This record gives sequence, C-alpha cells and structure tokens, in this order.
Amino acid sequence: MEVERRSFYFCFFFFLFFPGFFGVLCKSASPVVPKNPFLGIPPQDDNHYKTSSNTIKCKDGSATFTIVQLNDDFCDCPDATDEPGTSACPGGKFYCKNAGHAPLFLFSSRVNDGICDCCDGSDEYDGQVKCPNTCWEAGKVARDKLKKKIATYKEGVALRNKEVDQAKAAIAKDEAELSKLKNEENVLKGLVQQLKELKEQIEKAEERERLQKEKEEKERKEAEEKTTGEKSVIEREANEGQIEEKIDNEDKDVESAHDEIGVLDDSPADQDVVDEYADHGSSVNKVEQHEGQEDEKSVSTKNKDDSTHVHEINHDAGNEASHDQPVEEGKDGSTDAEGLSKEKLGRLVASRWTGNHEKQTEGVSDKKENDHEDSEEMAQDTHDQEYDGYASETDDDTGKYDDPDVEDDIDETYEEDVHDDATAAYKSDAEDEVEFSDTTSPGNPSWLEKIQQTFRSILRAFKFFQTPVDKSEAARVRKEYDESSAKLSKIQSRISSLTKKLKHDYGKEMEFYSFYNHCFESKQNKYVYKVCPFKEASQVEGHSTTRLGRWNEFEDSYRAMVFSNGDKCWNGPDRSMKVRLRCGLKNEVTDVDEPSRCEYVALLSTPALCIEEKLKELENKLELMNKEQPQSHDEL
Amino acid sequence: MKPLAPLLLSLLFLTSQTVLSFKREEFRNCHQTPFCKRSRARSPGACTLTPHSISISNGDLTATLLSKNDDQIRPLILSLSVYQDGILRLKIDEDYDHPDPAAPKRRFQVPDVIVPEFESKKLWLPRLSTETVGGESSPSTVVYLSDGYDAVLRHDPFEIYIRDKKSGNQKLISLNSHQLFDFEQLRVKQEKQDSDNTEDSGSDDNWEERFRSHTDKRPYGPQSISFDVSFYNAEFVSGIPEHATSLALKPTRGPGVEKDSEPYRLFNLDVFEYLNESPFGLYGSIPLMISHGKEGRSAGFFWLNAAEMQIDVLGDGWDAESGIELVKQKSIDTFWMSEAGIVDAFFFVGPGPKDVVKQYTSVTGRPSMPQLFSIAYHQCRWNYRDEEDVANVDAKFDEHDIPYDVLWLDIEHTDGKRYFTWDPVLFPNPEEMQKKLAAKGRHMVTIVDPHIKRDDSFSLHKEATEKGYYVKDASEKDFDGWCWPGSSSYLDMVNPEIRSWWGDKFSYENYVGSTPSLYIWNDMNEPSVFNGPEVTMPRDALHHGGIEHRELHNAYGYYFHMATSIGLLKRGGGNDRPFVLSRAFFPGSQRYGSVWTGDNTADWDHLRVSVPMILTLGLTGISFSGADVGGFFGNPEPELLVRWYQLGAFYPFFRAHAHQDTKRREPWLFGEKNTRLIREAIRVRYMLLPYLLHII
Repeated sequence: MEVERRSFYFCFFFFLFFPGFFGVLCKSASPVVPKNPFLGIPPQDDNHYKTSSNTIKCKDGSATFTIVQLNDDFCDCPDATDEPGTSACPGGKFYCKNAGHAPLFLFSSRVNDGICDCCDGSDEYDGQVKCPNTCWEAGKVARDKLKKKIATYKEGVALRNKEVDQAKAAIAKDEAELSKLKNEENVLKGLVQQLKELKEQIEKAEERERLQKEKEEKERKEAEEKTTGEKSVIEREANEGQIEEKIDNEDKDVESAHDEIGVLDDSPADQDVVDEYADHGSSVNKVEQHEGQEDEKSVSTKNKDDSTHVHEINHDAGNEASHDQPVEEGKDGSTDAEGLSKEKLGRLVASRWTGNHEKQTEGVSDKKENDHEDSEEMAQDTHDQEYDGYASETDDDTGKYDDPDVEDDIDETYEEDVHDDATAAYKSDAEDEVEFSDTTSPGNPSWLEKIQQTFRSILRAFKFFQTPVDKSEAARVRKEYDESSAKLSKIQSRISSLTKKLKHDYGKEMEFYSFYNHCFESKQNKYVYKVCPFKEASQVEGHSTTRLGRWNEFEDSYRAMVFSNGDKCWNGPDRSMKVRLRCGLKNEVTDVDEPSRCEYVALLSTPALCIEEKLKELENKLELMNKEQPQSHDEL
Repeated sequence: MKPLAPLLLSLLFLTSQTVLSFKREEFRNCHQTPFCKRSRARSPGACTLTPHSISISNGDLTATLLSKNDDQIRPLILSLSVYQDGILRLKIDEDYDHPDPAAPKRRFQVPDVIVPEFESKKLWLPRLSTETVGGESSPSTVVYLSDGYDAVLRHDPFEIYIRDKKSGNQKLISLNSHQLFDFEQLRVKQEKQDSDNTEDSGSDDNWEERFRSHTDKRPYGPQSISFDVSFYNAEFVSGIPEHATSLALKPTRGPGVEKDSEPYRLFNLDVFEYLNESPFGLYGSIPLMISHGKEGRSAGFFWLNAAEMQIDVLGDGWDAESGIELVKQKSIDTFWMSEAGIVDAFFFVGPGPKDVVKQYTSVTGRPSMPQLFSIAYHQCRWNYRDEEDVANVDAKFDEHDIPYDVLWLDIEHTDGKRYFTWDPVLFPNPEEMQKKLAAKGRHMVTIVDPHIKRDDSFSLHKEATEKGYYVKDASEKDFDGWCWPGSSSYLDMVNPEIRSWWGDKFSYENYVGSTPSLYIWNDMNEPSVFNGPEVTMPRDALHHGGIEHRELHNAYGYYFHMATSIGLLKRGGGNDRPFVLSRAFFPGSQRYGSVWTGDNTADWDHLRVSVPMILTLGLTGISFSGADVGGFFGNPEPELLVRWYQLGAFYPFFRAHAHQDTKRREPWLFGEKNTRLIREAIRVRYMLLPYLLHII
C-alpha cells in the first residue's frame, strides 16, 4: 500500500509538473573551434600550455589532456583548463587581450553567445555575429577617464595630507586641553570640597547662633513673663513662624534649581533631559539670577506650571491620537471593519500589502521614543544654546509640543544653522567650543588662579567659630561655592565631551577627525538626507525627520560608514544606511538610494579617501595602457 | 498618565501581530454561507426527484425530473450526452418553458470555456435500453458510453452512474447515490417579503444576506445546487484547486474529522498571507476531481459552474448515522454545493490518470504552447524601482554568470497605478530600456490589472465609462471599488465586445512605451476589491446580460486573462505566442498562459506546499504554473532561498518574486557559496529547457 502510493506519486511528479508528451529535440551541431589553438589564454599562463611535452595538466591536477584536446569544444578538465577559448566548460574564463584598452576576463559562457563582449571581438568567432574591434576608441575614453581620475587623486592626496596634519594637530590640542582640564578639575574639586566644608561650618555656626539666640530669647521671655506676667500666646507663635521663614529663605537660592527640576520631573519622557541640562553650566546662571529676585522666580514658577500642564495635554493628545488608531487597527481584522466607510475599508485592506497606514501609527510611537533618546544625546553634547531654545519653546509653543515629535523643534533649530550656512556640509555644534573658550582660551588663563586667590582671601578674612557670624563673609563663601561648583560642572562636561570625541575611531591616519561634529547633506526630490558621521543619518521631509541610523562603525577598511538601528520600518527591518566613501575633492553626499525597503545607501566623496597608494596604482595602470597604445595603433 | 505608555506599546504590538496574518474572520465559513449551511444540513435520502418522459432528442437522453412530493416550483430538465473517448455530460436546468410560475430569468451557463471542437466529438445516441439491474425494484435506463462502459440512469431512487463492463458491471463513478441532490429554483420575490429576516436562519424565505458590513440583495432568492458524487474503488481523490493543501484530499466530514471543519471552498479570493494546510479557497478554481485507486485506475468528475462552490470529501462511515447502507462497493463519496448556475457536469472514465487529464482537456482545451523564453528563469520584485535599477540588476546577472530571461515590473512602474502608463520620473525611457534588454535576448513583463483608476483624465477610464464597459453595482451604476489606484472600476470581460476592445489596448500604438519584447502579467483578477465583501466584488453586482456576479465570480479572472492573451496575439499579428501570467484561473485558463500560486510566504511550509499545489494544477490541466521562488512575504533565510531555487528550477513556471518590504534577494546577495548554488540550480533549468519546451 505504502509502496504503491509512493510509486504513484513518484510517477506523477514529473508527469503532473509537465503533463505533455515526451520527446527531446537534439540540436546536432558540429563543434566550432577557434583558429588560434591558444585562444583565451592569459599571458601569465602561456608557459602552462606551451610545453614541449604532449600532455598538459589540468590546473587542479585532477587530469591531463593532450594538445589536441586544447580548445576542442569538449570539456575534459573539471576546472576548465582545457577550454580557455570555448564555452564548453562551465565556470571557465576567457581572456581577451583588448590591445589598446584594458585586458578582460570573460565567463566562458559568453564565448560565441552572439553578443560582442571583448572590444577586440575575439569572443565571437563562430560567424554568428561580426564584432568590430573598438578597443582604440574605447581605450581612449578609458584612458581619458583614468587621467581625470588620477588628476583628482593627485589633488585629493594633497588635501588629505593637509587634513591629516590638521587632524593630528587638533587631536594633540584636544588631548592637551583634556589633560589640562583634568588637572584643573582636580584642583577645583579640592577647592569646592573645601568651600563646601566651609559653607557647612558657617551654616553650623549660624545654626548655633540661631539656637543661642532662641535660647536667649526664651530666657528673656521667660524672664519677662516672670516679671510682666503673661503675654498672648498668639504673639509668641507668630514670632516663631517668622524665624522659620527666615531660615527657609536662606536655603531657597540653592534649592531653586532643584525645584525647577522637581516640577519638570512630572514629564517622564523629559526627565533625563532636564536632569542632564541641569548638570551643565547654564542652570547655574539661572540660579544666580534668581538670587534675591522673587519676581522672576514667581514667573518661572508659573512657567513650570504651564509646562506641567502642557505635558498633561500632550499625554492626552498622544493618547487619543496613537490610542485611537491602534484600537481601530486592533479590531480591524475582525468586527471593526464593518464600521468603516467604503473608502476607509479599501485603504485599510490595501495597507496590509503596502503598510502605509501602519507606518503612521508606528511612526507616532517611534517618534516619542526618539525624542527621548535624541534629547539625551543632545544633552550630552552640551548644547547650551539649544537648551535655552528648547526651554523657551516648551514654555511658549505648547501647540507644537502637542505634535507627537518634539524632536522636530529641536531639529528645526538645528536645520536653521544649516540653511544659514547654505552649504552641504556644516559643523553641527560649534557653540560648545566657542563658548567654552571664554573661560579657557589662552588669553585668559588665570581664572583658576583668581578663584584660588579669592579662596585664600576668604580663608584669611573668615574667622572661624566666630559668633556672631559675619553676614557678608558668609554670603561671600556661598557665592564662591556656587561659582566654583558651577565651573567644576562645566569643566566636567567639557571633559566628558572631549573624552567622547577622542574615543572614536578616526581611521588609520586620523583622516576622518574633521568629520566629527560635521554633517553632510544631499537633497533628492522632496527629501533632504543628512549624514552626520559618528552621530547619525537622517531623512528630512518638510518638518518630519526619520532617523535612518545611528553611527555604528567604519566598514570595509574605512571605505564605508555604517549607520544602523534607525527608526523602525513597518513589516521590515530597522532603517539603516551604508555610506560608501570614494575619493573626491569636496566632502559631498550623492546618490542616496533605497535598494531594499528601509535599507539606504549613499555615496560620500571625500579627500580622506584619496590614498597615495591608490594613486600609484592608477598611475601604473595608465602607464600600462599607454605602453600598449603604439602597439594597438600599429594593429589598426 | 504613566501607565498608558506600556498599554500603548502593547496595543501597537497586538496591532502589528494581527496585521501580519491571515484574517479568517473576514471570510465566510460554511456556517456563515447560507447555501452551504443549508446543503450540509441535508441528510442522505432527502431527494425525492425521479425522471419522467425519458426519451432521445437531438442524440441526447432527455428526461423531466419531478418531485414525488408536491413541493416543486417547476419541473427540471435533465439531459445526458455522450462524447468520444469516454466522456459523459449531464445537464440539469430549470424548465424555462414552464408557464406558471415562469422562471424570472435564465440561470447562468458559463460560455467560452468548452472548446468549440468539443461539440464535434459528440456521439449521437441511437437508442435507450431499459433494464432492471439485479436486485433492484426500480428500472434503469442504460446508454452506451464507450467501449466497455455504460451510462446508467436509475429511476427510483434517481441516480446516474457509469458502470465498467469489464469488471462485472461495477460502478466507476456516480451522482446522487446518496440522494443528496437538491436544486433551489428561481422565484419571484413576494411583496410582503420581510427584508428584516436575518441571515442564516436556515429558511428558504430570506432574500437578503448580510456578511459583516455588506448586504447582498439576492434578488432571485436562494438558487443553490448540491449533490453527492461517488468514486468507486478509489483510494484517493485529488484536484479542485486552488488550496494550499496536500495532493490527496483529506476528508472534510465524517468520523475522525473535527466537527467544525470546512469543506474545500472554490471561490476566487485575494487572500492576504494565506495559510498552509487549509481547505480555504485561494485565487483560482477548477471544479475537477480525479480519483485514483488500485491498479492505477482513475476517473474524473468536472462541474462547469462559476459560482461559489463548496466541496466535502466524506470520510469512510460519514453516513453511518443515517442507517442507509446503499452501496456495498467501496467508494470515496464527495458532496458538491454551488450557490447558483446549473448542473453541467462531465464524467471522465479514464482509465489512467493521464487519460482523465486528456479527456478533461478535450473539453476545456489543451495548454497553449509557450515561448522558449517564458519557461526560462524570471526575475521579479515589487518593485524594480527605476530604469537604473533595472539596468543594474540586469548587469549583475551577467557579472555573476547567472542566466535569466525576463525582468518584471510590478505596479510601481505605472503613473499612479494607471495601467498602460509609465511613471515619468522612474521610467522616462521605457522603450530604450526594453531594447537594451532585448539586445541580449531578454524580455520584460509589466503588470496590467483589471481595476481601472476612476480618474477622468485617464483616457482608458473615460472611454470605458462612456462605452458602459464597467461591471455595474446592484443599482446599475458603475461599480466603484477600492484597489491599488484608490477608487476603481472593473471591466466587464464576460462581454466579448469588451474583450476585443481590451485586446486592442495592447497594440504598440495604444500601449505607449511597449515593444515586441514586452509581455503581460494580470494580477488582482479574482477580482480583488479591497473594500468589498471578502475582499472581492459584491455578489449582486451585475454583468453584461444581467448576469449576477455570484453566477460568474470564479470565471471573472479567466475572462480577463483571455482578453489580455488575445490582445497580445493580435499585437503580434498572430505570429507571436502570447505570454500572460494570471493569478486567478478557471477551467480553460491553460489556453491563455501561465498561473502562479499567488502571495506565498518565505517559510519552509510554503516551500513544501508549493509542490502539491503545482501538482494539483498540472493534474487539472494547468501545466504551466509555479510558486514565487523565495516566498513573496517575509525574508527567506539563505538556505531556504537556495532550496527554493533548487525546487523552483523544476516548477513549470520559474520566477523569483518578493514583497516590497522584504530585503533584496537577488541570487548574488548571499555570499559566494549560495550564489554558486543558485547559479547551478538555474543552470540545470537552462540545460533542460529544450526538453521542457516539449513537455509543458
């Protein structure tokens, strides 16, 4: 039974796939052999074939064949050694000399296939087609092209060398700065620590003073009570309240920065952002401003309220937008499609194949996620200015915030930089360095000393354990402490960004160092593609930005840059981008393409790829071609 | 606010899960299909019809079928005809001469499927003989069928069968042996009819049917037909494509089969991510079943009917409960149900499987002779984006020494999904592009679907509207459905005039940018209507001559395929064999080109099931078929892709295709070793080409 069944299917298999009538037409053609018995053999193999002995070895050593079997249009060697000039062996290679142009290896399947492949026409000899020798013209074109390429390379190599030198200098500078900053950090850390202790001592002293006063007051009151009888209880309580308030006020300036964070904390997505920003210098300025300025404080409190409010709205809106859709979608397959209009239903079903609709929904969630991460990155990059912009936008532009992608706002500011420049390449965050140079530039080296002097003078002036505490001295200590710790955190953030910068792989000769903090753009149709090495690649369409990938690494021995883990693609992979690099005189992104869904490729011309060895290679090639030129000329 | 985030995420997750799979609930099961539910509920012995006035007329045996009870609206007319090579044809239709109540319309009988030369093979019956077969109380009428076979009409209970004289008059194949025959007759809707009747109440009185948001007005009421067919001494039955299931059809009812199991459905549908191992109906329908038993004995049964059909294969002992032990001879019983149309059935005596296929294709036509290039390797993808992409892919094949013959362009090549146009940005020079390919002996295929964008500036739409060439909705306005271009209308290809008009659109003047090396791909011709019931056209849509869509649904794609094929034939002045690939098919599709198994998935199960699917197609006349190599949806792992090429090299139609969301998967993208393996597989195909050309 089983046997029968199997034979039934076996017989059927071929029959059913091809249930016609059996019959094979045999093409009876006599083999066409080349006139030149050594056709298709490259010069370096000449010795292998032109031996004195009658037998020739297959190159893989598996068999031998006689000279008569060479190019007899019958395959004797499994590795095709015996048929270099015919198409008899699958996987063989045919060599055409192409005098006047570059020699070429063809698959032997191209021999006598009716199509001219070699410019000297040597691959077609069975009379099917006539192939004219076009090597002279083709060779000329190729040589001209090569010459142009060499010219580019020459110029490019010079540019590259310059860049490499600059990079080395810049790295040295950055490293020097880093070590200097690290020293300063150490000193300042100690200073801040001491100031902190001092401050604490002052506070303790003040506390003691206060308690002392209280005690005295109490004793005085008790004495008074004793003497004058009684005083109203209400009055006493009021007094106590006043004192407490006073103490509160003293602490407030320090806490105010913290306050701000606390309020913003309500927004979970932005929490990190704010924390990060708060770590950096700018918030310190604010604290300073806030000192004693109750008005402004109340304003900012109001702002805080606003922003909290905004966040709530945001959540609601986000909820409604991205909540609604999934619900609809979630049901879509089953009962819900019934409620849809005809057109909606059509679109919905179409979207299963195309994924358009889905992409939107997912886009929303993606964007949210991105906001978060992007902001973090921004924070790390210490964009003080942008922080301000961000903050103000949060306050004013609630409508925009509602928009699922906050990121857009940031990117817009970002983009403005670009458009101002009106060039395809731009520096992504120069402010950072510029601003910092205020304090660190060589022309102003003594800031640390100044602080140290001030500190010493404080120490001198300040009399420990003195009661009552000198109020102005105490304020001075507090001020010094705040300023120093602000400076410290600024230095630390600079250290971290420098460390981060120096950590990257900039190529064998640091030739890609200048790419750091630079972006390259290419506009194609409605999209603007942005490639920011060591950072990310993105696609911008109007106000919406899609991240095509985050910096991953160089690939293919520094001939390609890989950005991976970009925004998610519906029914596809996370977006990614591979940027191939080639020698060019300008840094320029071209030919952005998406060969597979959500897998992008682009080409970046850059002097960094104009490598000297390659130039020599090209020059050699040209020399070779030129050598053959007179020869080919003779033939013509 | 916070807890919402995980909720949103999980919702999104769920969404993407549901979106990525077959949507069972969007399609009707038998229980939700009133005629199927009613028919399946009948028990053996329910038929009360008996033949009367049996006579010979025009060389056929004719009779009137009357019910023993007085529950018949009008008589049914039965005719039996005999054709050369052992083919028996049975027709049962209403008596249109019956005055009161007269039939409100003629039931649809599928034209253009039976080849004209078939009629010339008819054997005129000289006489009838009446005999009482041993042990039976009622007489039977017997006619000669072919050497060694008789066709027998038993009177009471009514049964038709073929007996094999060489095996002692054993039955070979029979109809209505279990008395399940039922024929719902056309009626006129009564004024008082309550349209609020909900669906599947099981009553014959309900006229409107609802499924999800769609209402089927069903103006002629229920009009289904059902009957049982038995194959004797059979071990297996096969055929009735298209289902993603085994070659030998498993029982769908009977002991050991799940209670809620579905019959094999024949209803052409565009199914998103279809399931492996399912009786669910896919893109095409061929109601031909072939039995196979010991000693290689085969017989066939073919029901020419284009309405929705449901077929149960009944497992041994399915009728045990009824207590009726009618047949002692071992058989495989099957139960056939159709929503509309007439009985126009063909019995094929075999004796071998090859003979059955021969007999069947003598009725519906032999496969057309393909061009050599079309049986070579085809490279397709949704989508090769632009001319540069095309040039690159073409060059890469040469670079990797992999032969291929045809490069395909999917829907994105058009200008806004207006077929016969080219995207002006992506394909500015289509002729030049084709000529470049043609210079290497290669061809190109572009897609042309039956939905026409409803855009007044699109001349094809304008012309079709003016000429009234579109299918109409139940209110006789041009049917407006949703497909790739958005709002679309569908050409009514059942009308020969429209087919001829359509054919002219393929001339080089009309199809601007086409060259002689360009051939055509017809997709979405089930027809696929994204916002229609079950992703297709409403059953009460109206075609040429007042035919309801329900009556010809399964043949819609066939007529479209036919019209396109005839167009290419015209284009070449009759000297160039057309190549048209179609997704939908019907008996006779083999005459017009090849078909493929639609949107499969890149997994091993779909690789496996492609074999029985293609075998079944070959068995039912469509010898030129294939499955998308690599799997349409999803990304195949390299080994799966390689294996698929190795199998695909033996598909009659050998094409790689992929969804637009998938990663590129041209043969050279998976490392040197895999490239070599794929190259070798394709080369094996090329080595066999001269041979294959003569057997496809």
